[in-house]
Amino acid sequence: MARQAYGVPNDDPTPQAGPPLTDDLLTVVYEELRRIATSYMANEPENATLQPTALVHEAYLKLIGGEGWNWQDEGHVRAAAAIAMRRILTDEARRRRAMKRGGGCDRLTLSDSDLRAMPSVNVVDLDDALNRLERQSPRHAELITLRFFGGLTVEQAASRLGVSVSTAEADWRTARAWLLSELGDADA
Amino acid sequence: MPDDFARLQRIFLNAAELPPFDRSAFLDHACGDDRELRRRVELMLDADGSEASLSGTDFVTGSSALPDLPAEFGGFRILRRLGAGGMGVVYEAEQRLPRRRVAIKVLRPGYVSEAAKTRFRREIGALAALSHPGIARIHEAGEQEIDGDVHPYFVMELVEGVDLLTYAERERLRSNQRLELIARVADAVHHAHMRGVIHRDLKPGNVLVIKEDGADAPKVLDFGVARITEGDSQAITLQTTPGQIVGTIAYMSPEQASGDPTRVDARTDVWALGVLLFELLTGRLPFDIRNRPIHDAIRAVCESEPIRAGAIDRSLRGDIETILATALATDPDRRYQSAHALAADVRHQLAGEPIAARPDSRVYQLGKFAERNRAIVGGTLATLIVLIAGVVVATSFAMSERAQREVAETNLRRANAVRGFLVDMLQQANPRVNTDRKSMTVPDLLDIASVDIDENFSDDPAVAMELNLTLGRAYLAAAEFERAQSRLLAGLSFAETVGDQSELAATHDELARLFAATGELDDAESHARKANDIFRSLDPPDIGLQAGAYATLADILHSQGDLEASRRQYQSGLDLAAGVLDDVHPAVRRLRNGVAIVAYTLNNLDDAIAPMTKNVEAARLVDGERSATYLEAIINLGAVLRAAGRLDEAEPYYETAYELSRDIYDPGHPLIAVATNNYGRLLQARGRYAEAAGYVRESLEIRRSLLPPNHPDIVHSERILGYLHFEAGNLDAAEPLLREGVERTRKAFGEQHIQTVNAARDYARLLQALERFEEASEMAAYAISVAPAPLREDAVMTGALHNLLGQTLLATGRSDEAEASFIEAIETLSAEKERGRPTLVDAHTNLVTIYTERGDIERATLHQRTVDSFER
Repeated sequence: MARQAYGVPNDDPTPQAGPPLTDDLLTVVYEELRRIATSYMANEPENATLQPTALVHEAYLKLIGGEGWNWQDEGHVRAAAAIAMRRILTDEARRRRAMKRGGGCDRLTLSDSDLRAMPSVNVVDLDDALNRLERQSPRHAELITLRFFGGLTVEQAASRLGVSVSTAEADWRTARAWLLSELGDADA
Repeated sequence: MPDDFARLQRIFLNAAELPPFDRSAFLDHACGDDRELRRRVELMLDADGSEASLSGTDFVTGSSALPDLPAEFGGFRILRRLGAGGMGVVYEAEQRLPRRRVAIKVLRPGYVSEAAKTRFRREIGALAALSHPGIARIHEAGEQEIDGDVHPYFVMELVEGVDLLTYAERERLRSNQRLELIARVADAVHHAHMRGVIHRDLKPGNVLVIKEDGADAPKVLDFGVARITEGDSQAITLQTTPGQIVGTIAYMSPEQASGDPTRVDARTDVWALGVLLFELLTGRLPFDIRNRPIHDAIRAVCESEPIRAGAIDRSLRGDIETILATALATDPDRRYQSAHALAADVRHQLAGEPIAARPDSRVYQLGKFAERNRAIVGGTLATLIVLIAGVVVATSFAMSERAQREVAETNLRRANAVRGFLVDMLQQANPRVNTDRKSMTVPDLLDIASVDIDENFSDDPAVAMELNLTLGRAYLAAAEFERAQSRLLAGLSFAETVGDQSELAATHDELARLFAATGELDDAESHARKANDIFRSLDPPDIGLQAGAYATLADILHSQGDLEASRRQYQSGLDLAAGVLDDVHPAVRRLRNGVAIVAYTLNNLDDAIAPMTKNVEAARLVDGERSATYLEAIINLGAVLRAAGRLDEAEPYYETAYELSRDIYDPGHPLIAVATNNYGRLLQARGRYAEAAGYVRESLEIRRSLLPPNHPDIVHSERILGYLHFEAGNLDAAEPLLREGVERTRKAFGEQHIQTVNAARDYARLLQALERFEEASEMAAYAISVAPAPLREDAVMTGALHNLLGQTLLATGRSDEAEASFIEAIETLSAEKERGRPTLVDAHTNLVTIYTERGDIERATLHQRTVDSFER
C-alpha cells in the first residue's frame, strides 16, 4: 500500500512530525470552535447528534480566512481544532450531564466521509476511553482525536504524527477496534 | 509506543488478516496464558468485524467478500445476477416448490452484526406477513454458508419492473398520473405501517413499477431491510461511495439524517414519499445536495427548508405545493401523520376537492426562517417578512383557477389560515401570551397587513369581517386605539352585512372596551349595552363572552362613578358564570377583580384583598409569573394592600410590577404608566414624597402621550403630583396642579365622585397651608357637599373632612361654625375611635381651644380629658 503522505516527499518513509501546536494557535482555534459549537448546541434539542467534523470544517474555513496567522497547512489547523473540539464537546457533555444528573447524555455520531461508520457513543465515555488509551499509547489516542474530532484524513494525521501512512492506517485500525472493545457495543 | 500496546496491535492485526476459524489457534499461540490480552484481542476483532473493514474500498469495488455465482443456493436454482449494491447481490432464481421465479438478495458476510441478525430473525415474520399488491412480498429469509462465510439472504417476489423515475419518464406520465402513482406507493407503505413495519429507505431504486392490466402498478421493495442491515445505532452507514451516499441522503428525513434512530417512525417514510413526489413532479430533489460534502448534505437536509415546488414549476403552485411542503416538513409533527393522509390529500387534489393540508406549514417555515434570522434582521423585521408572506400566500391562493363558488370558499379558508397565522404572530408580540418577546412594533406590521387586506378582500364581507376584526383586536391589544377603532368599526359593519350575531356582539364589546380605555364613556356604555343585548339573545348562549361583556359594562359604570350599579353588574356577571365557567376563566377573573375594585373604592379593603389575592394566584397558575394578567393582578393586589396600610406586604408586588411592566411591554405602554405611578404611590405612603413625585411625573408623561388631556387617569395623576409637591413642601408647584385639579376632576369623574371629593380636600389643605383660610373653608365645605352617599358612610374620611372644615373655619375666626364642624367630626367618628384617632384628637384639641377662648372651662376640661384619654 504505497501511498504518498500528504505534503511529504515520496522517498521519506518516516516524515517529520508537524510543527508544534502553539498555545496561541490553540487558543484561537478553541475560541472559534467554542463559538460555533455553542451556537449549534444552543439551537439543537437535547441529545442532538453533533457532527464534530462538520463543526471543525466550518471553524477551519473561518480560521484560514482570518488574518495574522500563518497556517502551516490544513492538517496543522485541523490538529489544533481536533484537540479543541474534543475538549469542547466533552466539557459540554459533562456540563449537561451534571445538569441532568444522570439523564441522557449527548451522543456523538462519529462519522465522516473518510471514516468508517462508528456506533453512536457517549462523548464523555469516549473521552474517558481516549484518556485510558492515551496512557497505553499516546500516539494512538492522538490519532483518534485527530480523525474523530478533527476530521483529518489518514494522510494528514500521518503527517501530523510523523509516521508513515501505512503505520497510521494500522494504528488507526487497532485504535478504533480497541476503543470499540472498550466502549462495548453501544446498542448491545 | 509502549511495548504492551505494540504487542497488542501486532497480534490483533495478524489475527484480523486470518480467516475467522484460523484465529483461535493463532491466538492460542500468540497470547499464551495471557487471558486478559486474549480477551481484549477477541473483543477488538469483534469490533473490527462488526462494521466495514478499514481500507474504504472493499465494499464498493472489491468482490472478494462476495461469493461467486453459485449454481444452487438454499434450494433455489440461481438463474442470473440481477445487480449488486452496497449491501449485497441480487440474483434471479427459480424456486422448486412452489415452482416460481424469485429474487434472492444475498447480503455480504460481516455486513450484518450479531445484534442485527437477532433482530432480523425476530422481524422476518412481520416482513413476511406483509401482503399488499404494492409491496414486493418476502417469501422467506435465512442464512446460507458459502465458502465458510455465513450469508444472510432474503427470497422475494421477483418484480420485473423499472424504478419509479425511469418508468415515469419512459411512459411519459402526465403529472396527474404521477400523483396517482405516488398515492399508490403511499397506500402500500401505509399497509406496512399498519403492521408495524417502517421502510426507512424509500428511494426510486426501491420502488419498481410494472404495467399491470394497463395500469401503473408500483411495487415497493426491501421493506424493513434497512432496519436489519443498518449499523446497530448508526443511521448513516457510510459504506458506499460518496455518490451513493448522497443518493441515500437525498431521501433521508431530517430525523434520520441527524443520526437518531429512536426518532424514526412512520413519518420518516412520509418524508421519503414527499421527496419521491417532488422528484417525480419537478425532476429535481427538494434539497440541493449534489456535489456537496456529506456533512454539508446532511446539514442541508436537517437545517434548510426544501425548495418550493412552485418556484421550479409555476403550475405546481397552490395545493400541490402545499401537499409537498406538508410531506416535507422538517418537524415530523407538522408532516402528514400517516402515508394514508398523504395519499388522501393527493387524491383530493386529483379530484379537485379541497385538501386537508394547510399552507400553515409553509407559514410556519417562514416563521422559522424569521426566527433563525432574528439576530440578523431583528425581531420586528423578521416578523414583518413573515406577516407579509402570509398575506401574499393567501392572496395568491385566492387567484387560483377555480369555479367562482370555490374561489369564495377558498378565500375564506385562506383567510382563516391568515387569521390563525396573524393571531399566532400577534401572540408572539402580545405579552399576555408570549412573555419572552419584547420590542415588537406590532402596529407597523399590522399597517402593512391592513393594506393587503383592503386590496384583496374587500369584495367578500365574510373574509373582510374576519380580517378587519383580527386586525382591530390586534391593534387593541397593542393599545393602538385609533387604528383599532377604525378596524373594529369596519369589522362591525361587515358583521352586520354578514349577519354574524356572535361576532357583532363581540365587536361591540371590544369597541366598548376601546372607548372605555380612551375615556369616551358615553360611547363605551352604548356599545357595552348593545353587546350585552345581543349576547342575551344568542342561542345557544356564549357564557364566556357574555360574562366578559358584563364585566365591560360594569367597568364603564365604575368609571362613570356609579359604584352601586357597577357592583351589581359585576355580581350579575359572577352569577351568570357560576357553575358554568371555571374559577380561573378570564371573564370570571375580570368580574372578581371588578367586585374587589368597587370594594376598594368604597374603602372596604378587607373585601377587596381576598378576591385580588385569588386573582393573583389564578394568573400565576394559568398564565405564569411573566404574563400581563399576572402583572395586572399584582398591581391591583399591591394597591389594595397599600391602601390597607400593609406596606410591607404591598412593596414586593409594587417592585415586581415596576420591573415586569418594563420587561414585557414597550416603553410608553399604559401598564408601565400604572406600575410606575403606583410605585410612586408606595413611596408616598412611606412618606418619601419628593421621590414619589418623580415616579408619578414619569407616569403622567407616559399617560399624556397616550391619552387625551382630559382623560381621568391624567387628571388623577396631575392631582396626585400636586399632592406630592404639597407634601414635599413645594407649595408653589402644588398650587396650580391642585387648583386645576378640582375642576378637572369634577369634569372627568363627575361631581358626586370620590375623586372630586379628594381633589377638593387636597386643594383645601393646600389653601390652609398657604393661609388662604377663606378659600380653604369654602373648598372643604364643597368637598363635604359633593361626597357621594357611599363615601358619607365612610366615617374616617367624612370625619376628617369635617375636621378640616372646622380647622379652616376656626382660622378665619368663625368659631361657632368651627365648633359645629368639630362636633360633627367627633360624632361621625364615634364608632371608629381607633382608626379615627388622629382626627378625634385634633377635633377635641380644637374644641378645647375654642371653649377656653370663650371661658367655658367646664367643656374645655371635658374635651381635654378626652384628649388625655386618647394619648394615654
